Amino acid sequence: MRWRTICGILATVPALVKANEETAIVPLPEHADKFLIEYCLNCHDEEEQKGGMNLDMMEIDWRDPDAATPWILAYEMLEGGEMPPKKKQQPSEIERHVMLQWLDEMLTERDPPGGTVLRRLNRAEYENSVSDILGLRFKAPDSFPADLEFHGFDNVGAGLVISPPLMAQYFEVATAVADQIIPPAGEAAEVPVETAHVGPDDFTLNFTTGHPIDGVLRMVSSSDPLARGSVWPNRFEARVTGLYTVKLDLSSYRPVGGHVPQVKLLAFPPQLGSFAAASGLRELARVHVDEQSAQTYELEVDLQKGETLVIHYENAALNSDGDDGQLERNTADLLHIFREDPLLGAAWKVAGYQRSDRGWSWWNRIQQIKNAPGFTAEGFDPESEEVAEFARRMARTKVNLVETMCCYRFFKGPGLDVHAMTVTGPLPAERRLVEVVGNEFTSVDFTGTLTAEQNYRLISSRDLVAGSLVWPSRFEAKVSGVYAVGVDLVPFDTGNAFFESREEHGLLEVYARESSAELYEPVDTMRKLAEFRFDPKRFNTQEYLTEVELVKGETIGFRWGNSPLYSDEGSRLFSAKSFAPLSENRRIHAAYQRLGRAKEFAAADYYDEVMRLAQSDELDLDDPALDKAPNFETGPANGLFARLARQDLIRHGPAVDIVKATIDGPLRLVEDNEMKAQRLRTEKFMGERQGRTDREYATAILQRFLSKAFRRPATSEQVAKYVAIVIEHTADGRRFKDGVHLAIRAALCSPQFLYRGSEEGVLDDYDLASRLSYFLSGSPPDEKLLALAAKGELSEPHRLAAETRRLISSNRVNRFLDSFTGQWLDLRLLPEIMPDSRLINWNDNYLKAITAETQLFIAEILRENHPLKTFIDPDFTYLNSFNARLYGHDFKGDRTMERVPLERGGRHGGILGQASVMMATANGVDTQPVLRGVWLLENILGDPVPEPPANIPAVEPDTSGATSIRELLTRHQADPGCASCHSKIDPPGFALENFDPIGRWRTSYPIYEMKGEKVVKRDGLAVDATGQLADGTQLENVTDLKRYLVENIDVFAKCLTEKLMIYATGRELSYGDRKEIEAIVARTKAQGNGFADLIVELVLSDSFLTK
Amino acid sequence: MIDRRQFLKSVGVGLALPALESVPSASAMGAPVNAPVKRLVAIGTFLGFHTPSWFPKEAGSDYTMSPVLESLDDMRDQFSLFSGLDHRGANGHKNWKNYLTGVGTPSVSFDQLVAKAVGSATRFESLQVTCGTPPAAAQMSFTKQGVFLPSIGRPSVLYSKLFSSESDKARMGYLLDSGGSALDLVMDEAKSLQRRVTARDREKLGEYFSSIRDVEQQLQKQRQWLDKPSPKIDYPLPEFDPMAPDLSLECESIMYDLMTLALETDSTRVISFLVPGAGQVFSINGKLLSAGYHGLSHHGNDQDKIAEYNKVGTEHVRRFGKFLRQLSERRDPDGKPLLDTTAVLYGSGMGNANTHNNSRLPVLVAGGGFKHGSHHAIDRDNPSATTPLLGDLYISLMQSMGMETGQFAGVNRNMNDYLL
Repeated sequence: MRWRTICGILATVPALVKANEETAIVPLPEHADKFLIEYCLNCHDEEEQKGGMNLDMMEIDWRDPDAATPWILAYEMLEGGEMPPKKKQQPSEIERHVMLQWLDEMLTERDPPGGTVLRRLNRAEYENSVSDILGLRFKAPDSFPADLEFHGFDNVGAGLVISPPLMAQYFEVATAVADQIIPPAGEAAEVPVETAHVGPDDFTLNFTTGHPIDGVLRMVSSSDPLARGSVWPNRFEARVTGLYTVKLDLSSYRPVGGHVPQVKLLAFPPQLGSFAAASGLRELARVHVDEQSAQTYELEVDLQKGETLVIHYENAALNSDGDDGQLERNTADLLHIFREDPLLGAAWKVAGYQRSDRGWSWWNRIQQIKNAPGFTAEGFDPESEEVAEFARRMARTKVNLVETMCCYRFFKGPGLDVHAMTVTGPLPAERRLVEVVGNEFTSVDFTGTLTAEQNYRLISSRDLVAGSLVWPSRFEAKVSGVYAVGVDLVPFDTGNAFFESREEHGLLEVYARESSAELYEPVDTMRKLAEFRFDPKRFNTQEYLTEVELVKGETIGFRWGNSPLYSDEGSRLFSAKSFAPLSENRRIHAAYQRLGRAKEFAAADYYDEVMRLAQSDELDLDDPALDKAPNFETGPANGLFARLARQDLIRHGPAVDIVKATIDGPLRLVEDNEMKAQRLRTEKFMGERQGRTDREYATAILQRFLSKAFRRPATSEQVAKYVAIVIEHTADGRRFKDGVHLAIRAALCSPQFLYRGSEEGVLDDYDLASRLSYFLSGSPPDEKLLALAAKGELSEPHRLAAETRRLISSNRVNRFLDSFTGQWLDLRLLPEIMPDSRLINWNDNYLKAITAETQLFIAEILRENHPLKTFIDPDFTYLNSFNARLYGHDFKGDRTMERVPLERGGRHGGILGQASVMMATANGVDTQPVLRGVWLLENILGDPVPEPPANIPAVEPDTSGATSIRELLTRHQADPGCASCHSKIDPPGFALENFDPIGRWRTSYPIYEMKGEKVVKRDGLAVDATGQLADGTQLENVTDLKRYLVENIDVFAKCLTEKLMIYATGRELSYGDRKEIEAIVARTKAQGNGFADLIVELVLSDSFLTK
Repeated sequence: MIDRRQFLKSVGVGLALPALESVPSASAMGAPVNAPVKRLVAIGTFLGFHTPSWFPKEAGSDYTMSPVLESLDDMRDQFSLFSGLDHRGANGHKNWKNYLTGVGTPSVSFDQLVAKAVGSATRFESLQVTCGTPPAAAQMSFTKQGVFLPSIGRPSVLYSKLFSSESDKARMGYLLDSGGSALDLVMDEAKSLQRRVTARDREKLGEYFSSIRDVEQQLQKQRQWLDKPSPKIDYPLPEFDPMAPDLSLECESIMYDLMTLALETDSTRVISFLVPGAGQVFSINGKLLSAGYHGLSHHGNDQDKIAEYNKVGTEHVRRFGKFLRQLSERRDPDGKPLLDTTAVLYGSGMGNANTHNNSRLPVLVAGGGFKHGSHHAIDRDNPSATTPLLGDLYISLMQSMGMETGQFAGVNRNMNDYLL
């Protein structure tokens, strides 16, 4: 007797049942009802609900969004022959067929492809979206709530909840982001200049970074983490960004062998924490401390608000950094100490190392032994192998030893003594007048020369810095501001030159030059500040003055803009035309041909020799050999004629002599780079007003911005609402900009921004652009996608396929790969797993290597469109010295990941042999075949099993080694209740048993025993990885499982496609979606089964194209 | 080892629907009016204490004050000591954060449950305080969603948050007011979106509406507090924030002063204070210690190191004692000594720093009008069905604040017998 219920919704909420009642609630046809009673309801009725499955109903209520779920499962079980169970009564073939046909028709109609619920942007998508639409680099703060995983992924609509704390974060972030586009109006406060005196006791000390001794702070270590090798004042930080003067009183302590302490002064924002690396900090200055009495070093440094100053002793005697040479280095350091002080060495050897010996505590213990009455160094030989071995053993304590050796060096040196530090600032932007005379200019190559009067003579105007620009060697703008630039010049022209005297005005150009600019940089990339026109015929000093704007760090350069010796535009060579006065002179020409390349002459001598020869009668002007026209297009002739021209111009003119230059400023301040970047951001966002009214202007700004934010053209109605709050805001007396700021804040909290995919049915082109773009790049659609969407062309299949391939080949596809594989293969779990220290001395290098291997591997499959079987049985992988060690691979390289060929059919290689996957499916301590089996069914074989019954305890592995895991699990076979699932779970799970919890191959289980103080490993029971799959395939170990999958690649293809489909569409798959997946798999196979082809087919499917 | 069922779930076999985060209404949480205890301060030291020097040798009320706690002797009637309490949780620095959550994160810390119950009456529902920039693992307070609440480590920042200047308030007021109109606009957009979408999407948008309403309420509340004048206080904030790690004891003193002021002005009723520790070398009474604080905590049972580790511990306790004395001298708005109506929890999530063991935590409860003066030695080695866990103590603290809490972090008893 069984009791049937009417669906719960009907009974409790009758009010809801209205219009759709007739079509929404469908009674089961009689044949189906009969079939269920006969073959299913014994187990799957209301009462029993075996496996959580309840088919006990007389009608189906299709208003329930989950109504299809049990019927899809029923279809799959019946079709696959898994249900009814083999031992139970079986339906006839006809009955089975009729039932399947009914289910198929009903589900095809009722559960078509589609059904994604509104998808909120997940954390990564939100970050990328904010960054893209506003042109920023945005990272969500730590306080952002984590996204929920649903169906294995964190981008599924149903799992992406908006909760009040998340909304509060959106709201707060919106203001912070808007501030970056439009900064709040603020008034700059005057900051008084202050001086901080930092004595030896006022530095932050960590571990053994420094030691106050004899009234100074002594340093002896150069380790990279600040907490191990640097000191910084504990009560100074820059109150504002600006210039500060630092006075450092330093001396060298007991330098030996010519040691000169080299000290770096670094800028340090304290929020980086004490373990920030000195090598990663901004260097402000370097000093060499070569005196043993305190010397004052005075420096001027730039500090950002909040930064403090770090003293780092770069070439100190000791260093505890954990690089490759650490052990040898520290062993040598210790032996060196032993040689210097054998008594100490003898005491050290007696003391040995005891747990937690480190720094002063170890040092004091050694001192006690050393100072004990009658203690001698007898029998202690620093050169003996025994002592060397002892030193090596001590060096294995790494930082503990180094810090203890520091104690020694604090007394013995060499060291650096810090006596005091004084910091004064922020310095006002003090106006200074700098005068630069001839020998204070830097110039190169052909620019000019210093005259006897110590003027700087300019002769050429090449298109490169070299050969045209001269600049003061010792001036650069300390702050961005306006400077008065003056120059005194005298034209030079003897009238005896080959070059004609200048008649028209001369041109002296002034450029802004960044001190880092290259010498062969074209002049036109430089900012031209001003030009002076001078009279070339007035041969007394002419004075010129102008005001220019310089950005911090820039200097000024002068150039004679219209010299007769010049280069053609864009050419590195001088123009052949500018040699004309020389090259067209018959005699000079002949002399040049006679002398040839004339390597033996210095530049000036060459000119003299050409001139001498030209005026002598040694030349036979009728000799045709001397009549050849030189080829100025190539270097040699061009260079030689340039030499001639240069010498001629220097000696006879025309040229222009710079007597002196003056730079006076800053007269007033202008924005620095940071302010400028900010201004450009604002300008870019706002666009130009172009005389429009507030309303027109706001409409233009917001039409553009909202369309980006909403990923489709904002409607005029939408824009009008945002414009309204801007106008309202200005009416309240706020700045127009503040109104725009408010509009940005609102847009970033808008449902149109936070959710995607609101349009029903087949996606329109814009929703399609978003779905495609977030799928393969994790970001909003780019301009190309939006342009295609605007033309309505994106949904054309050939276009869509081409765009999909474009995104696959873009760099951004890595976001998809990281996110998808991180979740599909559970690589995201890896950082959380800490392998047992008895297995391996695990460190981050292993973690990085095994993660990179899988990422590079899958990236190649996608990029090269390798066939899907490559996932399972590839002929390559990526190794470095770390993961190679796990595989026992004879890899010769270093830490760089390299592509390495593999034999197909082997143990390692592919996702069923990579350490990352093996580690993610274990717990770092031991392996559990059931868990790996469940994982394989879910993620590789595409045949997930229901959750285990609640009342059965998990099998605890027996680590004593007495019972094998297989014996423990034999009862799975015995009990038919267990067997229904475990016959599927256990065989593939056991096939992976040869992989230990970190993916190394093993043939036996380890047993750990205590031997005295030590843990010793020995081989326990043998690993038995054999099994039999449901279809009878025998498995010896994982290689058979791999072969099975390669031969039945559709099984894997279907599973992978399902995962991709859930990730791409953000929904639980419907019956229609599953049918589509079968079609995608078939179409892809017909093309060669490439991974990229699969993704294209998926994008072109109805499932992807439907909301 | 990962629990089997948890694992099966995490690989996606489970089909459970995510529960929609429901917001308990103020009345359901029953902001208690007449509960004996009005405020909670929960303090944890990241590197713990040398517990053999912390736990008194004798149990009961006639115990001899232990060396580390010596400076609290004059206050002994104002607090209770507990030994043998912990959460039976995992070890290591990483799991320190179980201190207030009882179980691994993500999960809620009990101070935040209290904040939800009693925080609505004050400007700040709760405050999280620390000194400087603590290590990443030093996390103490977590929301109901399991999100870590970052702490304020800069005295001047805490000061201006509590007693903001007029110009700060003007900007904040502007942002709140204009934020209101931004919310109106997006609410309007959501409504028009709602008309166009499917029934399931409409349901989904429900999350959006309720979250926006919640934020609106928060804005309104902040707005109301903004209109009230900031409490006038006369506290000379040092010109320089002692942010450097080796000055963290100095920072600790200032933070205690500011916490007292925050309670006295009724700016908040729930504070959590994480006393950090890393490798800094402290100078105590003008004498530099021989190793960094973290190094000392791994004393390896070296007596010299333990002595110095205890010096730091003693300094923490001395500052805590000063805080208790301040609370007993200052009055709450009803004129009662603050300490009588404030429950103060002091201790650490680490029981033995030398071995990174997180059992047998040092735990002290002060104030709150509880029955005090005893050292309660819980027999952890011979547990019975009634042996309490630290979570049971938290249940008692919550109940004393009028919360109807029967369970927390997997435990469901209380320690009322010890406190009442």
